[in-house]
Amino acid sequence: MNGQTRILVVDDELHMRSALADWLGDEGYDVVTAAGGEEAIRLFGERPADLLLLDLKMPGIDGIETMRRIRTIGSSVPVIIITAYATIETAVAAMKVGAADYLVKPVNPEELSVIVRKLVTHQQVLQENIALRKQLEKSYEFHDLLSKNARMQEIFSLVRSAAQSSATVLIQGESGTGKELVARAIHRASDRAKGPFLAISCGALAESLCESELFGHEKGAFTDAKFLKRGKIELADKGTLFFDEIGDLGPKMQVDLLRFLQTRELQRVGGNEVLRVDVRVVAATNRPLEHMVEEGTFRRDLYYRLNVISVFLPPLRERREDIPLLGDHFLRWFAAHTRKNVERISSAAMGILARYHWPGNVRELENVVERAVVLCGSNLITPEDLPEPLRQPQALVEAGPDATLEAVERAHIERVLAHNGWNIQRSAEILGIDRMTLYRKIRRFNLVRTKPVPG
Amino acid sequence: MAAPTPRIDLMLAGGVTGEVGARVAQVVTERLGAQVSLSRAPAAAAWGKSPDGAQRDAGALLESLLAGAGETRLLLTDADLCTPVLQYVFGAARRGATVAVVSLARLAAPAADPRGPALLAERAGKEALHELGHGFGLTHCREPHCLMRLAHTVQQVDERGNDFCSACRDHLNEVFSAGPTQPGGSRS
Repeated sequence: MNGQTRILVVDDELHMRSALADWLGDEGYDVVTAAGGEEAIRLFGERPADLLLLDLKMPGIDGIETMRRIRTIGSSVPVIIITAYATIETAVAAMKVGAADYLVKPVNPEELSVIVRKLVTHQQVLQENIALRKQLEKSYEFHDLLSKNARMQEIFSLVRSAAQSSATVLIQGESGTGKELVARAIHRASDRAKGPFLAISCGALAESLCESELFGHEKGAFTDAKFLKRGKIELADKGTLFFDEIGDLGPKMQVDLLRFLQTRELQRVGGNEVLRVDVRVVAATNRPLEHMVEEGTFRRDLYYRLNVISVFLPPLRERREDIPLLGDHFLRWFAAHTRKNVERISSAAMGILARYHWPGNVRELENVVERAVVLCGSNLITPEDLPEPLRQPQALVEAGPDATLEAVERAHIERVLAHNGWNIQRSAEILGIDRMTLYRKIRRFNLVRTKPVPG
Repeated sequence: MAAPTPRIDLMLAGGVTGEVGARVAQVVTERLGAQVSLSRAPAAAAWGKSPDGAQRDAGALLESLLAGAGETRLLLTDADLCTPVLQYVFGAARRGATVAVVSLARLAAPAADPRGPALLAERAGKEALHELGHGFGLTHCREPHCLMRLAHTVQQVDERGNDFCSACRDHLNEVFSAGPTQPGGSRS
């Protein structure tokens, strides 16, 4: 096992680094050496090591700065700082930038051996953990969708089957639930995957422009039509056309779209040629289409044409088990893309995320995690990195029809505690329970005082 | 053709007793088939425990042993040894040169241990063979009972067996067949 473990020893003094390298080599590690910070960063960039032994005082870039730069390239490699000039200040500085240990030269060989073995084992467990988590996530994945919720798994299965046909799919769900991701998943899982995927946001199109946008126009069809323009439907031939916010489609366009869905034929505006187009239509809406049909604002016949296969995406608050999974997934994605060494979300912060009611659904969670990664000053996202509104007890659970009794109880206790500055006696009196019962409930619900009151 | 017999000059420095020296000479003869000559190191060389009890630098000691060395030289000292990197070492060797040093400072049995001097001599013998092994070009070995297994503690020295594993033994046989070795790096 040690044979694969690579240790980078960085020391400007030749006899020191060769002595350490010999000694670690004898312990069975694969050891590389660097004479300074720049060389270490270059070597690490070429092939990362599993452990770093860094001399503190070196000409040029010192050990602390070397470690800081290695951290900025997104590595969480454990680092042991070794120095002949130990001070409390340097030890604190080393720990602040995330050194795993701090040793003074000459080192106790037994101590060094134990520390190196401990860190290497810890790193191996960490890597195994990441690999296992990825493996587990894979079983929850469907293209870009991620869920272990039973309803979502049923949707994945439905989408997988629907993708094999050319049937029209209507996706309904609140804003931010991932309707476009489902549409793209249908496209990618279908035999049209090599064809185009075009999305049209119906809410963003003026009725007058919508016709030309969808069906195209011939040169000279109207005053500004200086060139022939192919419409989105024509351009999506052999592919998938996604109508987002279909509920916002105006009455005239509803008729035109219905005609196309019935015949699969179109004519460009101002043209006579009838074009046959092979396209799969997927539509999505966050508006209650059925209700709009009853009201008469959405055509019943178009609704039936669109609603051949129906997908209802549950809001995030109804699939709370996905919050840690999605939170970790977004964390890793944003940490990698911002090259920040943020490793995980603390249990207190995850508790807040898990209890929040997420009116903006997965998109809101994604934005919250992105913000937290950007603001986070360490490798751990804490409650302080979350937006203030999320940390307010009343934000956690609204006593809506989907809230459990336990969730309401937890939210109410948290609200009373916050309102009374976490004065246990007063809070217990208001809640009508004794202090010990309140303590037990605080422990049971894992409630955390996020903003301590001074004094 | 039989391998040439290695000749080892074993020197005792400071308060290292003749009994311990004789025991080490015996195991080195048995395990390496060496011809060992036992002598006391010159007092002027200051290779034993210093009057103030300060540690001696193992590397510097090897350097001074190297000067004028003809045969393989092994020094047993009562001085506590260190290196610029490590707070203490049980011994050190210059690979291929071949000089080696073993410190008895940390190998003594606790006062209450009835095995007392015998245990010290046994540990000294194991360490002497270990450092000579480095001197003859061996690196540390992962075989649990091989004499070349790394030891940071006296307990780990005790856990070693009394002989080299077959792979290390093969290496030694090759070295002895090839004749005198060339200077190389130091090991501890």
